[in-house]
Amino acid sequence: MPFDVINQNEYILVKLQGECLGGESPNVGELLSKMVEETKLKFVIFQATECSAIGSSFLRDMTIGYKAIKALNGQTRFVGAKPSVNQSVVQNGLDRIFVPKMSLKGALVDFGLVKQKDFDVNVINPFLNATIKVLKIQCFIESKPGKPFMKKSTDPLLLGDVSGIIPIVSESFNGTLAISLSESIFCHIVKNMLGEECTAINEQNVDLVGELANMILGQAKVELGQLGYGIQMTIPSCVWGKDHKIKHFGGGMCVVMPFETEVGTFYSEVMTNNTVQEQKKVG
Amino acid sequence: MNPCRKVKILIVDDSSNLRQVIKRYLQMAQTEGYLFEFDEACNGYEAEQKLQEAAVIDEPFEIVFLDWMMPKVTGYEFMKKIREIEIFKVMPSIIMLTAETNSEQINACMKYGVSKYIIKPFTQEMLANVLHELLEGKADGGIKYAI
Repeated sequence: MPFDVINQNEYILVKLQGECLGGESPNVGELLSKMVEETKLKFVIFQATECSAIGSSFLRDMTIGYKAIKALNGQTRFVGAKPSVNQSVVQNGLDRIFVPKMSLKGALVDFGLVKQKDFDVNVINPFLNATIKVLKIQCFIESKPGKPFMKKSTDPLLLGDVSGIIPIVSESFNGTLAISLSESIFCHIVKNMLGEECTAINEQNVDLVGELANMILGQAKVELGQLGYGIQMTIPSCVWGKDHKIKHFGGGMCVVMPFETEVGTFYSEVMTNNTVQEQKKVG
Repeated sequence: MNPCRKVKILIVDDSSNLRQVIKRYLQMAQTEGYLFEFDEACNGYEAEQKLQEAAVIDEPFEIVFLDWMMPKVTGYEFMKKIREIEIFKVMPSIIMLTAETNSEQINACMKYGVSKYIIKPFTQEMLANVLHELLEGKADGGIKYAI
């Protein structure tokens, strides 16, 4: 069978695998209808990450299940599909009922099953690992993570002299990643990367810290993707100066991750806050 | 003594400092028999202009190191556009050098004949290996990750 229908307590997960061409007995729609009627669960996620192709016949079978979901005023999401699979859904005129989503998390947020302002502590490790990797490979600096701590969302002060800031955009949360360095660590990095002496942060060299933020987000994205967060890449910016301030998006939770290196301490901070729904309200 | 083969390389990245890092690493990779000549562009728009200018004066670029996320015109948009132009269908060879790790987007890039996809952060050795594979005609369109 190229599918599994699984009761996840709050929703039904239909995992699609390989070629889903239809003609199974019982078919996906029949099994789904049965579970919807038995459990009265009205949210259904079709997990299509492992699906290599989907046929019209299989999609028609899925609509049988949809009728049972609709009877409960429920909804479905079609998650993680390859572009060719999504295209089949569109061509069959079904993309408004099997709504495509990049991530499972995004689908759960749509259903209201994940609280909008929760800070998922699982996002910290991908950023920790990514920061260590980028500093090691690109800057030749070994860094050891200290104990992360929370910062008030109302406190905009970063802890270094120069910061690279990059927006985090995903289906389930938006926010900001910032890496904040003292002038001495920054100059050490410039020297390691460019092979030139650096005595101060200036307009010519400052963009390097933005590039580091970009690389950290790119690396973290791999692990975050495995956790169900579909992160999009964005363009970084830089700020510098003693006691400089940045404005994170919105006012959610902010976790600060300190890192010890042989040339001092630097900080990486992640603020998660407003979800896609909240952003839409803003416009 | 054999004459050196001139290899024109265009480095496209919105960070001027990162362009310097890439150039420095590539200069370190220069071996006997080759003379690398570098130029830079800060986005896809400027890169396209440089490619056209070089083609007009009959000194085309052989290799482009291309970032993805850049303001104005992204690396992906640049690549898609130039590959539709007859004279740029095959040359220059393009090496994506980007923080973008999404497999769907990597695959989309491969469709446009990317010779290699390097994920930032990168080492000097990675750039040197990829460049020499390309010059020796051994590039296979694969992906390089720093470990």
